[in-house]
Amino acid sequence: MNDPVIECRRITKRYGGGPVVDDVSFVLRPSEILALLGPSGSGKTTVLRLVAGFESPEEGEVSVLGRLVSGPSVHVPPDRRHVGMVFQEYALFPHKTVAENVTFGLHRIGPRERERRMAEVISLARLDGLEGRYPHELSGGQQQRVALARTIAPRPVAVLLDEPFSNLDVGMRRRMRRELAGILRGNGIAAIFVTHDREEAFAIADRIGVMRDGRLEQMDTPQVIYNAPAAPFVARMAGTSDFIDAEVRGGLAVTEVGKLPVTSGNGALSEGERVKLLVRPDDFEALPHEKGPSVVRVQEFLGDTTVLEVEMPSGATLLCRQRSYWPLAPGTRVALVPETDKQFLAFSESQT
Amino acid sequence: MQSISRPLLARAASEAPLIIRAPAVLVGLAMLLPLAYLLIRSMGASGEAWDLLFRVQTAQTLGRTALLMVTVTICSAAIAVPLAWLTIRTDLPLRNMWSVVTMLPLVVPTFVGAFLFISALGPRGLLQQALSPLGIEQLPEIYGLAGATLTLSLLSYPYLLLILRGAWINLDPATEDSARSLGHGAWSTTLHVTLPQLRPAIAAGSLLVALYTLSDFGAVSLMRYQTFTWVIFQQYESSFDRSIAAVLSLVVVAMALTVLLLEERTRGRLRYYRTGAGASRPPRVFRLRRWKWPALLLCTFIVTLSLGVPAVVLVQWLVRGVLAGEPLLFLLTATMNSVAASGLAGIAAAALSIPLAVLVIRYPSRLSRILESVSFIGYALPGVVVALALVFFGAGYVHPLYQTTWLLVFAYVVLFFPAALGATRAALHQVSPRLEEAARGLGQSSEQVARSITIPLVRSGVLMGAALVFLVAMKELPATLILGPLGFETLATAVWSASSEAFFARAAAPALTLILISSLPMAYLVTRERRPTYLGTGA
Repeated sequence: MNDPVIECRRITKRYGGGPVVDDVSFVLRPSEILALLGPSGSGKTTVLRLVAGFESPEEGEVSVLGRLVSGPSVHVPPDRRHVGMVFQEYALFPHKTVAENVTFGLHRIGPRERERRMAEVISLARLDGLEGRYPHELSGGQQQRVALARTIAPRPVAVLLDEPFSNLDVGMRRRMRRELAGILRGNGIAAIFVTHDREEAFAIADRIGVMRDGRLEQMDTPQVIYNAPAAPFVARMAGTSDFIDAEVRGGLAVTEVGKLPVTSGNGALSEGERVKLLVRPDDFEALPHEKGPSVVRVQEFLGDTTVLEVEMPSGATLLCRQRSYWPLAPGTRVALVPETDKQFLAFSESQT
Repeated sequence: MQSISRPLLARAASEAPLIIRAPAVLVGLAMLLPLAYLLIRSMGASGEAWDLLFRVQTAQTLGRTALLMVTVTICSAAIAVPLAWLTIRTDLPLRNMWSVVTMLPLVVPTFVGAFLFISALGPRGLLQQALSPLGIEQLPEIYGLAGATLTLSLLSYPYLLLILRGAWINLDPATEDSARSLGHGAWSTTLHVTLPQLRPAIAAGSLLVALYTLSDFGAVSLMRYQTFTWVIFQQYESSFDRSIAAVLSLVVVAMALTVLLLEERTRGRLRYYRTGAGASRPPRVFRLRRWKWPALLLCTFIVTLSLGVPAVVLVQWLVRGVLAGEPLLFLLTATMNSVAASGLAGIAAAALSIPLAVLVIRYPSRLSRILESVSFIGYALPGVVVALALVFFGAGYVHPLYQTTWLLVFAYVVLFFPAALGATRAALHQVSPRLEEAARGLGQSSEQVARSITIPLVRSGVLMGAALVFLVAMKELPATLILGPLGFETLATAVWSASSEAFFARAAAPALTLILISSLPMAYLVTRERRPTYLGTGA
């Protein structure tokens, strides 16, 4: 039984002007954690709200466990979808205690079963002893755990999380995301979460969907998203990226820093084609060389590594990450040496 | 090294400078004066006066007053809650117009409203005349509890609406979405999530309405419903022993304190605000669909009753009066008197609120908290009570001031100071001390900073406070009747003396003038962002 928990088919949502969500399709499989990654305004939160039922799409369909919940002339209200949602600001009920918040979604079951489930969820979210507190009497991390406990208490078929870590400070964020992923995975809860932080998406998601201007650009595993992005935009969302001009000749890419092994995500490369190569900071090593064609412009010491901004003969710049024991002052002439066995990904000029 | 001089209005580690502290303390003492003098006067009251306190009539008055407070508060809530919801959360047609229009009954004084309702809805009023072709000879009596409740509810619900709207607009809509996704329907969400979060606002607004009812004199007198204010006024007018009125006033003060405590109780340990920070998405708008017409009908009904009926009746009486040759000349003096006394009170209250607001916001301390609580006394004390206290005080100690407009202006300031303080405090709250420090860092002196940064930023808030005080002072009746110098006529007293003798045609012109002049500050207020704090209840 591997039927999708949630399926969106070509959903489109407009607010007055252009589409906020444009022809988006994807499935969420059982026990899967899906991340929607994109800059603010890319429509990722709207996708969540469409799935939850707070908005209805102008076109397309949403199904939950095979049942159509949004579609032409169908709109199942949020309270009948069995899809839980954790809000960005948690939206804890300020007038209810932790226990009352957690049991709020358990109104359809008997009191004994309700007590049992509450105890279960409270201990799952490590909230023991806080049952009588009010939300404003809790720390940020505790508030987030209450929000999660409240959402999973009625055993929703899936949980939607809207920027769940954006309200926490950096150190807390890492701990909470490990904890949250643990709870979701430990209980086999399928989830979709929205974030603009790629590290967050890489750390917990099974698959990542990258969104831009309401469109889903690519959805795949974190490894594929990072190593084989379908478009330069996806490459930039997935990691620090530079693009250098190249021309395909004899199966190699000829660039101003030498001939490089090249590969293409979509189809073969034709001889003489002008392309852009994706370069990550780890792809080149900058070696000091008196007659080197490139010059170090900026040196940023980060402790374990140092990032250099290197200017190539054409004036274009690249970022290079180096081990820190090799200081290269600005003005040093260098040669750029590619990592061995590195295949550079080429995009056609029109894509960038 | 150059010595560092502190910005005039900036926060400092040490105490507030004397230039702030001294006037603030003086204002606090002035606010306490009526209550203190009332206590002194009651101490010296005869045993007979104290015996009166325990008579059956006193208990009956107490019961009537409490009953009216309850009915008016409930009716006001029943009007304000649906109106707030319709004008904030639904796709009601002409929503913005309704949110302004439903606030307008605030400009109609209760004694004007009462005489208009009597002549429109009384046994042989306009409504009966309109219905007589249907064979209706007489409508039920409007005097008494029903009429008083009707008048006060229709004219005081905007106080509750104002506070409720402020709270509702700031309510985080995500809590409602959250309840929906947890399987609660629209009704259950409203009942368990929305309304409970609005409870503090409803309580604060109800408090305001209850105190307003307690202090009302005009409506209850015209509707012949004898509450404490009426009884006290009668005692003052007719009895030789004026300390009887003082003793009765203490009962009213006790009632006000009881209401305040009740409101405090409902808050308890809960603090209602968003647990997170940052912008929230705008709330989802509830589509009324086929409920659109009933909703429009409800709004129209309320506005017709609270504004339409008074307007029609007023114009009718005006025309009748002019045709009958009622003199209009006295209007000029009365208008000037009203505007002068209320205007002075507005300016004085706004000016006096500045040192206190600075002390409260920039130098929080025990002193500032005490002074702030003391300055809210005006809200709890009915005009009759303050006026009486000042009569005793003026006649006994500052005779040159007795029977002058100054004592009346002072009464207005004591009564309405909370409105001014609330507005000034809210405005000053918006000005971060960091702003002033930044300006100091750019090489400006403290006087330059005050002139170029602080004053421009708080000016509109202070002006709103002055406008609000002006508006309510224009409508004030009992203190004006008691403290106004002999022969001193204002628009309010002119309406009162005519309408209490049922010369409605003579009351129409001053009433209309009063409403029109009050509309000016009201227009200024509604075009500004509406915040509950401007009514000064955000204590």
